[in-house]
Amino acid sequence: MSVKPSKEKLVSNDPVDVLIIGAGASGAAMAWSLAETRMKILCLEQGEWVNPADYPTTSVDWELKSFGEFSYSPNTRKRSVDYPINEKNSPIKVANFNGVGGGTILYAAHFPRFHPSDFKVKSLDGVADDWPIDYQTLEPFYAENDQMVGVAGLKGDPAYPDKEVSMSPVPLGVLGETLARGFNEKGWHWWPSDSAIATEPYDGRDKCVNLGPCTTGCSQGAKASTDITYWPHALRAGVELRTRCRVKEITVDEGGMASGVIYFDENGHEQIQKAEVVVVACNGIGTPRLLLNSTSIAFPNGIANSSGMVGKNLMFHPYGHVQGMFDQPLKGYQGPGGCCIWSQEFYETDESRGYLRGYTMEIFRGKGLVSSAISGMTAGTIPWGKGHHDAYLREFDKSAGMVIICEDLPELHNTVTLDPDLVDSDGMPAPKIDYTLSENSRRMLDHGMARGKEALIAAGAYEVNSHGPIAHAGWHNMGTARMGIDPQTSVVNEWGRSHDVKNLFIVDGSIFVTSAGVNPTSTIQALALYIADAMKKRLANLFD
Amino acid sequence: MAELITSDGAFTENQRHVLQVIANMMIPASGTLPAATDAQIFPGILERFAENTEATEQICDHILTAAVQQFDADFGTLGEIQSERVVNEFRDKQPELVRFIQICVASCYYKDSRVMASLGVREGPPHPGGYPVDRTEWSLLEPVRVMGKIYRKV
Ligand SMILES: Cc1cc2nc3c(=O)[nH]c(=O)nc-3n(C[C@H](O)[C@H](O)[C@H](O)COP(=O)(O)OP(=O)(O)OC[C@H]3O[C@@H](n4cnc5c(N)ncnc54)[C@H](O)[C@@H]3O)c2cc1C
Ligand code: SF4
Repeated sequence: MSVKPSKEKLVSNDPVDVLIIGAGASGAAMAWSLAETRMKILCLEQGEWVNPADYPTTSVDWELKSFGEFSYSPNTRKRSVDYPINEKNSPIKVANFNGVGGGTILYAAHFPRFHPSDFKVKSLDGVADDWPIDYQTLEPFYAENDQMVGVAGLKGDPAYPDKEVSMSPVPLGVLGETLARGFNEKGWHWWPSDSAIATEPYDGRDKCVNLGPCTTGCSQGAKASTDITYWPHALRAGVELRTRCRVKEITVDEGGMASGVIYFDENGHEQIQKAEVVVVACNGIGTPRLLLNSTSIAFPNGIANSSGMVGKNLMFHPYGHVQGMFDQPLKGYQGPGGCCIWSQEFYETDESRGYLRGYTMEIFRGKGLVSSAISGMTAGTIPWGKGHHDAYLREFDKSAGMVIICEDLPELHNTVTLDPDLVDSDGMPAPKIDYTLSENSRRMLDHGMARGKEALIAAGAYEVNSHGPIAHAGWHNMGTARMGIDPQTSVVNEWGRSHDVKNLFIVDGSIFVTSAGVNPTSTIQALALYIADAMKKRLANLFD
Repeated sequence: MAELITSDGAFTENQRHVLQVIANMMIPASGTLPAATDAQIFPGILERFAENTEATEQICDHILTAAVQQFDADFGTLGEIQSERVVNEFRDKQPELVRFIQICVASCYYKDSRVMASLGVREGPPHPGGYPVDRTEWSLLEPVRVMGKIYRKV
């Protein structure tokens, strides 16, 4: 335990105009966009810079490292910059990364946008809520973000309104083409995935060399994690980024405005940072945790929480896993592991399927040598003992599959609260997750896994198995500080400002109203750019 | 070598025997492929186990105790069939520890140069290097292009 000075003796730093908390996907985009205002902008991040030379793929033990110090799970990784999460009461476990770049350090870089219908769920299907903004509102910010990130893709996807791409799509390889033929055989939609991966040199980044394991960090620098996209630009434009600073609470003044934060520095000492504007970008779990931990006389239940919605409506994307065995080698370990092709044949609602809303089928590539052995042994398809080598040879590089990424609907009882006992290395309460899979999600998963099997069989698989929800796939954390027009039922307004505290903004996945059936990061970043733009347009009367 | 002696020393002889039996049960030699207990592979596996002595001690305690309970004998004195029975019962009851064992064994076994060569995979870490992937035949998309827009208008 670190010895902390009493409040009176806290170190106080020079005040700033804008304080951003969290240097991940959204915090980086916000910092870059606001930099042109020449305001004094500071970002506090609890983690550190990651040196690409330290990524697992530079070592022969790369797969082992991906199970340990580069695991998706903060509870496994257990770095001092991580916070533990009590997720015993959830079938889906949280995946994240805490450091400059946030989750984008480990993300697969699958980069779909939401669809127009995703913003109108209530009007179209009578469930959840409509967003207070629509696809058209975000469209220019999707485009701006795509430019900053560099998106590889192919124009003309019939599942989307027209959009530009920055460079040619990731190659499909034998595996992708095999599965594409399966979708064609079924007469179903498929398209090369939009991927935040440089397939050509882009903005100083080298091009992808098809190593495979993007989800352990890209040592080549081809994958668009924000430490190498937004941050270099933001820093050059004068933004200050202070690492190893874990914000403990957002403070308020007598007028009920945010006055700044108290944070733990690298040595566990508390410091005060005053700011005119506070922007929270800590992700769908870290943000409600921080807001709930920021109690005061004005906000006894946590700052910005007069609606009681902070920490409620937690949405993951329940994921199904479908895998097929093929006779021929598929060279699946070559090419970006998580990005290949997708199918949105079952994306839009069709009530006859027995559930509302829909899902995307995302094809993933093959596994590494060690993961192939472990997943085969866990699934029982690669035995211990005599048959081990034969079964391994039958499976290695001959499996292909997909994940089914289902839209999750917001439900009040799915929550992030503060754990009464569990704390992080600074003694700050850890988040506790309570989550149950809804009947709608269950049916959607079953439908998706059944269709996934059909597609794989059509592609030539001789054996297919599936399971879902995947336990360790809680990498999309959304809804826990939702956006809305009504202060009674939402935390931030239609441009990201807290209803309760007029100089407090939230820009990460927690402001999502619904989750859509696609990966969220392109929408998270487009929202951050849109909110930054709204702030810039209102600088003179931002707090009115 | 110093490292190997350290991890070797992390375990008692009984514990080492338990880990050796388990590793050999998981991946025995076959054809030209070595077993997980091969002299060039097993020391690395012991190192992995030594990184989490708590879990490893739990595994060994379970197995050593079960041998006494089931056969009233030390695990080290059991024949092949008996020791496999003890380990298999443990596998049914302790999936988390079994996953840990599989990671320790497979992560060392499948980076051995002989094993990698037999699978046609380039030795060493993935980066730097990478793989050339053939250009995609986009005519495959023709049936999809003719579909027309499929997203829902709002
Ligand atoms: C393995 C994996 C694969 C993924 N694949 C994809 C994919 O293919 N496509 C996709 O769209 N998304 C993917 N994601 C999800 C993606 O990473 C997230 O959607 C995205 O990073 C969320 O952005 P954010 O800004 O909300 O939060 P984050 O990027 O998580 O950033 C939050 C930052 O805030 C910091 N922070 C939190 N609390 C505090 C505090 N109290 N004080 C200071 N700092 C704090 C954290 O350390 C972190 O750096 C994946 C995630 C993982 C883990
Ligand atoms: S496949 Fe490409 S993007 Fe992924 S880790 Fe390798 S070089 Fe980076």
